Amino acid sequence: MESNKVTDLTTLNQLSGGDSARKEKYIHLFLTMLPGQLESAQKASSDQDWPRLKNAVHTLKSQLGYMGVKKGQDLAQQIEKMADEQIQLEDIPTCMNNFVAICHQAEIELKAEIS
Amino acid sequence: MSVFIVDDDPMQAEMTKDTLAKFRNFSILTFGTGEEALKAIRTSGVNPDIVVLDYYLNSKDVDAANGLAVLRKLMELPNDPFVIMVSGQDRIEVAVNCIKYGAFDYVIKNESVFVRLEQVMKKILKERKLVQETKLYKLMFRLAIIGFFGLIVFILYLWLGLGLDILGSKNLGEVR
Repeated sequence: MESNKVTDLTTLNQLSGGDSARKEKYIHLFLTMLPGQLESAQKASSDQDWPRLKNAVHTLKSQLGYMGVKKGQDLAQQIEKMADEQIQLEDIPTCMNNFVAICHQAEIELKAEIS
Repeated sequence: MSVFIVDDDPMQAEMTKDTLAKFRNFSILTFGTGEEALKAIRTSGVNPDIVVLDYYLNSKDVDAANGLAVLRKLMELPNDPFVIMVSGQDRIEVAVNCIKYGAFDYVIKNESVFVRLEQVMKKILKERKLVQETKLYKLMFRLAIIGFFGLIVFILYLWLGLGLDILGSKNLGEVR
């Protein structure tokens, strides 16, 4: 079951220098901001507001990287590129659905990590 | 030393702040937009020595000035700070533009961003020390030049004074 995890906290452990309080602080920050950021990205996607979508997923891309959500980071990069260059726009809804699902999975795993 | 962190991502800003907290004597202020940072400079008179500036600053406000525009404003300051640009963009033209407009270095937001940031910060401190030393040596050189000419003038003064005295006594002798 471990292999199904979308998060890998190796990077976060390195960034926090083994300080568990620091690591928890970053996870808390991420979990606090995630719902608002996802909502903003979803709204931009349904409104077909590509510049706003690009900005919304851009910030999430770095944060997902720190949380070791590689799949989410790759998808964010893909969506950012599509929104920025306005290419393959018909694929954006599917990518967004996958992206949201990965983020929700990451949310569950990270909550378990700090509980 | 005053350090400004300008980033619209609170998590990135917090992580950057924690990384820079390792450096002693750093007084760190964080801002969510470039406008806030520039306003603080104008109103409080605090001139940052170093600015860690995000390239994209409009995740919340699409009208917010981007990092490049803020960089250009920072470079217009009388004591322009060392600016480190950070961005999730790994496009070479973005980095080239930042350096062109005066950024000291460009750091990509990836797993090694904070290690790189520490390295750049050490480089800045080294450069700053060199600049200060150069200023000190220039001042010392100017003082030495002034001292040297002062000494020459003093010697001339003594020599002329002595010459005049001799001349004066000779003249007196002739009169007598």
